[in-house]
Amino acid sequence: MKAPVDLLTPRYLKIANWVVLGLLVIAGYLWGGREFALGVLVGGLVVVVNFHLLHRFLKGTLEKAQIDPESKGKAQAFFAAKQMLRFFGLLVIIYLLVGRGWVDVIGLVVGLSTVVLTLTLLAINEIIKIKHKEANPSHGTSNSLS
Amino acid sequence: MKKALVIGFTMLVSLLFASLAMAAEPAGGAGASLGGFFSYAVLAAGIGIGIAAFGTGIGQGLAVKSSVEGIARNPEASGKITVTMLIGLAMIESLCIYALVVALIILYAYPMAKPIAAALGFKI
Repeated sequence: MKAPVDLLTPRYLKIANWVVLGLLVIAGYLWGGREFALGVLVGGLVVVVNFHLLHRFLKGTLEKAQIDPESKGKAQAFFAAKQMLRFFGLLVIIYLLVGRGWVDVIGLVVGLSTVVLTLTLLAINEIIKIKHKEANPSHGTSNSLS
Repeated sequence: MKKALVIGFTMLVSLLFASLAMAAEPAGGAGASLGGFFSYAVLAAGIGIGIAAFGTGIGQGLAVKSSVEGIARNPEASGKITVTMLIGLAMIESLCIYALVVALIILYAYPMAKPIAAALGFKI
């Protein structure tokens, strides 16, 4: 029997983000037309790239702190600076998109929900797997509720 | 605790007087009403993003603090803790992003701005 795949890994989260974004863009195109789909695409790209950067910064900081405990303070300061820079970049991009009216605002909000939607779907999937495991202890998830 | 209460009370009083000052109807008719409306819009955007950033800062700080403590206690579980932290941070941050978008919509792309201006007799 195949071992259950752990979906809560950064790799799967990133893949799931791109898949959900693709589905949202297609659904947006069919429902709201080209401009709406463009809004979803741009919003989704912003938030998915933001998620990638968050993971990269977090990983880099924790690894640096583990390898060289003496540089922990430095790594923390760099992480804070990178976080601020990332958020400032996000602010500029969203300001340009909304302020200049380059994309459909509702589509943009839907696109910005890509990561939240992905995480919610994965969480629901995990809960279903845990329930399934409780019903049948030979199957299940690698994550327990406790 | 006392300091926080004093700061909170000061902020509350400042906000109260700011809104009273803006709610006061100066001589000027429709122009003043339109100015008041946009003043409130700017105030709403600023306070909204301020509250969102405050909550996000506290939330992310607590999440990172707990995760780092967990990793320090049990370094073998660092992978799972990092993923959980990543998910938590992404969820918390998305709330601030929504607040930012709403604030920018209020400031730059508010759909009711034109109808309100038209109702007050202005052309935008």
